[in-house]
Amino acid sequence: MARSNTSTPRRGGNAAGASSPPSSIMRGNNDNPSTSEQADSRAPAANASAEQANRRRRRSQSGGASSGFSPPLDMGTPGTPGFVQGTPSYFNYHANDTRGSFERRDRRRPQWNSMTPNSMGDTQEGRPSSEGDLNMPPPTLVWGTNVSVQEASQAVHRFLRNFRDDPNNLEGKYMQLLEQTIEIEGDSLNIDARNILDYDEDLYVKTIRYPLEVLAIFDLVLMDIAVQLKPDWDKHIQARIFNLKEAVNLRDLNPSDIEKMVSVKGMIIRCSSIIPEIKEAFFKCLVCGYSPQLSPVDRGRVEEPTRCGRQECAAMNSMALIHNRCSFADKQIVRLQETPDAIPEGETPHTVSLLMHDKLVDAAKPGDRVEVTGVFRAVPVRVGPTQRTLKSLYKTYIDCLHLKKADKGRMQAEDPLERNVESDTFASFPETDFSPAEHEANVEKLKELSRLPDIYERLTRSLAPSIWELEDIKKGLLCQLFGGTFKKLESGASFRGDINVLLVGDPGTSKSQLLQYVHKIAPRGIYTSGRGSSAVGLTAYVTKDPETRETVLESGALVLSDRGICCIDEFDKMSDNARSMLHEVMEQQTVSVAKSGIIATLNARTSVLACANPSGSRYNPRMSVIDNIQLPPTLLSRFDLIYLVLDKPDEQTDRRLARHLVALHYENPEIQAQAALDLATLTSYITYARQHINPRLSDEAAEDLISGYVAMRRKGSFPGSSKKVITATPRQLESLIRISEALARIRFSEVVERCDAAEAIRLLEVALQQSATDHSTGIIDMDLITTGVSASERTKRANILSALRNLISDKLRSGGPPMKITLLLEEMRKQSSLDVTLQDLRTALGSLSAEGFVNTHGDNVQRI
Amino acid sequence: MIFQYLAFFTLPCSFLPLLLCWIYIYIYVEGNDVVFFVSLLGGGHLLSVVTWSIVKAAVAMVGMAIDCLANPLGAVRTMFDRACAEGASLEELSRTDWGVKDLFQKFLLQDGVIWQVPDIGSMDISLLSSNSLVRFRGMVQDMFDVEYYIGAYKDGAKWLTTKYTDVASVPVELENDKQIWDRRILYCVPVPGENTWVKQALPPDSKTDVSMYMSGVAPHGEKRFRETSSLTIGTCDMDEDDTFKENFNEGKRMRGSTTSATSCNITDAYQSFDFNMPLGEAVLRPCLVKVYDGADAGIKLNDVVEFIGILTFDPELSSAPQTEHELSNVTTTLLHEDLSILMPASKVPRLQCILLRKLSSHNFLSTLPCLEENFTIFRQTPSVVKQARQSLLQRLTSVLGGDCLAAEYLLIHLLSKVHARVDPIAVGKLSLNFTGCNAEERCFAQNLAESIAALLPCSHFMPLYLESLNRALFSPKKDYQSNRLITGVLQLAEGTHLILDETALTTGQLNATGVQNVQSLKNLMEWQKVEYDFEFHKMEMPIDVPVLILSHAKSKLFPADIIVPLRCTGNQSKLTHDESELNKCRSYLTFVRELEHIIEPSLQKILEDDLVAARQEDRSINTDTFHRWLSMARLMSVSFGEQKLTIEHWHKVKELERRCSERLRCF
Repeated sequence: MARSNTSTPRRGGNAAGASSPPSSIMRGNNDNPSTSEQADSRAPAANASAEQANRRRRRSQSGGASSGFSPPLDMGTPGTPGFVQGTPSYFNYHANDTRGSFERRDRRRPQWNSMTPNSMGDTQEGRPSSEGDLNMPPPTLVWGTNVSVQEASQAVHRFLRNFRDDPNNLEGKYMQLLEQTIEIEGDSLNIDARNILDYDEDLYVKTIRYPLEVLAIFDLVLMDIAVQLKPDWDKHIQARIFNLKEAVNLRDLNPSDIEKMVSVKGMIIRCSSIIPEIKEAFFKCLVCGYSPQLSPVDRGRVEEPTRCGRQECAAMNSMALIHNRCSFADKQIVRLQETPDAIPEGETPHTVSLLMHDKLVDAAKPGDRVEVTGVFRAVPVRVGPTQRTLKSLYKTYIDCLHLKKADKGRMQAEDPLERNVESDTFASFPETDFSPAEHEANVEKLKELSRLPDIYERLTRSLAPSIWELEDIKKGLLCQLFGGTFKKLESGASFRGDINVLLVGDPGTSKSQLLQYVHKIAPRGIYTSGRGSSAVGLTAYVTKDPETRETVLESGALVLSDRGICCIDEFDKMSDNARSMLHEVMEQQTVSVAKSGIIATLNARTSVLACANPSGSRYNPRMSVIDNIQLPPTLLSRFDLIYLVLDKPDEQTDRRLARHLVALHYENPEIQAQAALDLATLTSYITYARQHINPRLSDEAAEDLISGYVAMRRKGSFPGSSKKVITATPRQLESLIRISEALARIRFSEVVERCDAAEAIRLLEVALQQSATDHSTGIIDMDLITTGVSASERTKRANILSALRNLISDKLRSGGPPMKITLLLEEMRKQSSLDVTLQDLRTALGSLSAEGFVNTHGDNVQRI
Repeated sequence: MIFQYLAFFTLPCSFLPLLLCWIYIYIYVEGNDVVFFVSLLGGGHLLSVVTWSIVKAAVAMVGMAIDCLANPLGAVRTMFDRACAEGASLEELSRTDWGVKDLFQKFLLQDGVIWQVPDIGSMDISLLSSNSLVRFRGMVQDMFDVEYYIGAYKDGAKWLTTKYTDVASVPVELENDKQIWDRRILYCVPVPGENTWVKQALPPDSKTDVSMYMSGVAPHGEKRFRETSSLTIGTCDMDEDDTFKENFNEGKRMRGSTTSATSCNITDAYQSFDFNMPLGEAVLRPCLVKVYDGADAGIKLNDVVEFIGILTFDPELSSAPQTEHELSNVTTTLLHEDLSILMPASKVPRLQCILLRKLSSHNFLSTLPCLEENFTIFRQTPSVVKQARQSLLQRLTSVLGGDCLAAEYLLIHLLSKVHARVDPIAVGKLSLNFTGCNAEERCFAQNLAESIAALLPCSHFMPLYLESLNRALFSPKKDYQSNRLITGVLQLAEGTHLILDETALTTGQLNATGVQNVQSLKNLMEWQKVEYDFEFHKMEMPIDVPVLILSHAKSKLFPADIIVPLRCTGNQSKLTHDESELNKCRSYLTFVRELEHIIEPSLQKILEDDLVAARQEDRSINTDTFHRWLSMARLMSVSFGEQKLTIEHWHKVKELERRCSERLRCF
């Protein structure tokens, strides 16, 4: 099993050669020729080929200071089956894998004796016998560890052959995968570490603690099996282990992790260009044209033959390296940074370098969120190439084994419908860093919460607790956060589940604060201000990349907040041009770009939360709602909820506000008590609901929604009001459905119940203050808000009152016989054109009797 | 053993104690116990025998073994050896500090010792010998990645440590006889916007004493000392008034020019490397601090911290020419972007931190000798606080040309700080906008800025020139090329006062940067947060910076919490330069700012009623007004040194507001 410790070429390869001292490597510190021999040839391999080993040894004897990185993965030289080469590197450096056990490291390096397993055991000479029975001569132990080569390879064999996901499967999971790999001539096999853990915990622990050794064994065994499956198989298959039990936080990496297998999550911030790394050198004699076999490059050293290998020629120093016939492998250095959510407040993100090889090169781009599994390594920084001392500093990096792109927003942005369903080795990771049990417990907790009867109110209270009142708006925003269900019909038509909300209102009504809050907890939220946003800034624009001079498409705010919430402040200050771009986004949920030869449709499945001031910057009660909002109806109809945030003079609310603020300033525990759920719980609650709950309308609820919609339509069709009020359109019916679905989601209910429908209708009405809107004029009646009676109602009443007064003066004498109220009503209807109801009449009579004009006894009216 | 070392340091440095010390050291070297020490003391006749030269020799020995000041590494080594000798396992060694921290803590706790430790922020480091104990006070500007180093290695049979050294030459052959430990690197800059009086208020012995303990190192200590003092204080021998003015103007000129968009004021020497000074104070020196054992756990970006540690200087690191050209190589930059290579040690000293202490302006200023007594007086007699308030108010009134109302507001504003954050509101912030300032009266703005600078420890005057808005980087940005956080003007320590002079703004167009900068300033004022640009994501950093805006009319760009039209009746005079009076005012501001404040439930009710009534009367009163009133009420009563809100102060606030709104109506 050869792990040729190739690295950047010293000679030959044109590679952006790290042929410089600082990049020198610690692997084995092989610059000391006398030690490198031993190092190189110590092999764990059972079926070692002595010949090959000798070849290696010879080569390494001449090896001087090596440089560059040694990938743990590029296994040996393809085309040399049966290569069984001790990986020199991994024997030598275990500086920190077992802290505190320095007695063990104290020992001399074991001597290489021969290639037979038995003598391998002898290499343990000098090992204190206190190491226990693992040290007993027969098993071959990898030096410095308790990994026995035979045992480990047997364990790997067992695991690969026998592991089954499902006990009913005839063939082992990895055998199937391996067969597939062989079929497609693949070169790697992904192995889920959790499977190893389930099958053989000891093997798992060994893999984590001594990854280099165990990986070599894995590769070896994979080779073995591959050859058994297909005798002429000569490619190398590499084991890529992923999905470790726990992912370390980048911040928590520490010296004790060096040379261990770790898994970290982060965001890629920079990628180097691809570095070709020479693997096999091709030489040609300049005299006779003879070229020997490709010679493998060992640890970045290319050994140039000093004389031509052909007997007849044997010219000295005639061999030249032919670049384009050498074989190269790709290498790339990538910088990984902590994901923003892992950074503690007030600190800057940490970074770590990753070394990518072969297939992993360019697998991820800057900006991608990934989970990386690899070996954490450290290389000493050397002051000068010739100096025999090291600076005491180390550089660390992760030798990458497996890379998984993950995207975890603040709230899980992924829509369950669109979740990738790939083969099981690529199956998406559990959503959280918790173990399944913990995750279960968490889910259970959330479910328990959802069963609370007042969960809706609780959540409302927890949303932006610092903002007083505005309960209904918070409820609307809550619906927006939860969202309706995305529907895709078989015909291909799709209906958005995202709820768009517009807040229109007086200045100083904490609209911006609400926006800020939503932005904070929303998945992938983008916050822009209408004043500063242009149409392209919101959607997408084409620009020239300064480096490559290529035209590239840059996403704007809306595209960036795909599956999130795009918060737009000062919506009214936005240019019309920019606003018109929103039409497509808000209904079709896509952004189409056609410029500079780029024609594209980008997904922008975003909810829009906009806030605006009324046209006159303050709400003018003498103008209709439409006139106040001053936004084109085409755009307005795309908002599911339009809230008028009016500054209502009400002593009660004022008092609550005052109390709230006083408490805020004087750190009264009252506020804390108000917030029912903390932010983390709230987000995980929303995340869970968004992922797992997809409510369907129940028939009754559908019925209710329809009747509610019809009622709304009717209100809108009030004669002469067509222009003055926001009329209900089929879009409103969709809105109703979405809102009711969101409400069901809040309860973790898979079915939309009647109560949801009722609440949805209420929310929609409340939003526009429709209860207070005078439908005949479209004007919100401020008096209605304060007294509960609208102005036109009052004139009507005044008219009825005077008509009734006249009627009574005509028909009744003072002190005369009483008259039946129904009779009076008939008379009224006869006389006046007014549409009088019995109720109106009674109210009018009430005020008349208060005046002392009439007396009412039951149904009888008597003039005084 | 530790207390025995300390015994030495507590004794005044005279002949006799040195001698005693020597005797003790002798014992230490011999490894005997205390009893022997006492018996030697008893034999007093020895004292007469020993000559001065022996004492000197003793001093040298002391230096070798336990001198925390001049040879801290020796002390570290001693402690390490002892820990090894006591049979601590490697694991223990790597996890603990072998009592080093305690040793230094005890050493520094002694009276005045802390001021003897030279401050590298204020003196020429070339005068300091490397590996000596130094002090540095600065703001954490950036946090670099963790550094791994060989913490301990075995030389023969003995374990040696390289902890608290920058680099150590470790033999290559080391295979397994080494331990890799880690340390954090913090890049610190001197507190941005720190006013000159703070530096002057530092006890003078921090500079004079340098010569004393350095005499052993540098033969011409006397001469060097003179250099040092002239370098650090600059204008020490000028008379007080001139010093103040000079220093101030110098400072302002410098800062003014940075904000006025020219980054070219950075001298040639600094051009090669950006020191990331938020306010571009090129004459000051940043510092690279290496923190051990997770001592940085509580440290956040922009915290002001005092570090005490070992100054190390490694010529190999800073003059590694072969690394220069490699930096162009992508591979090497990515993997080996050793930032320290970019920072010449002569300009960015390295400090191996042993002790650190987070400083708020309060706990720093209250330890300054010249302010210390004021604080004690304030604490003891509350009436003095009221007097101090009165005298400060008078000064402010005269600075504002006799405008008493504005002075009241200014006082409250100067005391304001964010005392709670209830997302997303920053409770307690109170930005102030003085209207009625004219561009012609530039001297007024200048004067006001000077006055504030003379009162607060940190302040920054920022005339808003159009071109500076369009060019300067306001909020910090991460540069992944160099892997550093490029600082911006808004990377400020807590409590820094910011004065924006809007009258300097001329008509013109703001470009994208300008719009962004204005937005950042606005965000800062509204939420007390600055968004740091990390390219792939933004990070909001809370900040606590009171902002004062000077504008002609009500500032449209930067809506402030309070708008006060200025009405000058008399001449705007300058702040008197009576140092002791000023010190009183400074202590007053700092003292009062830190006071806790509560409200009684009964008064809470009254407040609520008042608020409701006010709102019923005037519908334009909204949440913001309430916030303002409540903040003001708090600050008002705090400004009188009271920790409970009283009804009088509440009425006073309402009266102020009434007078202010009257003025606003007239305008």
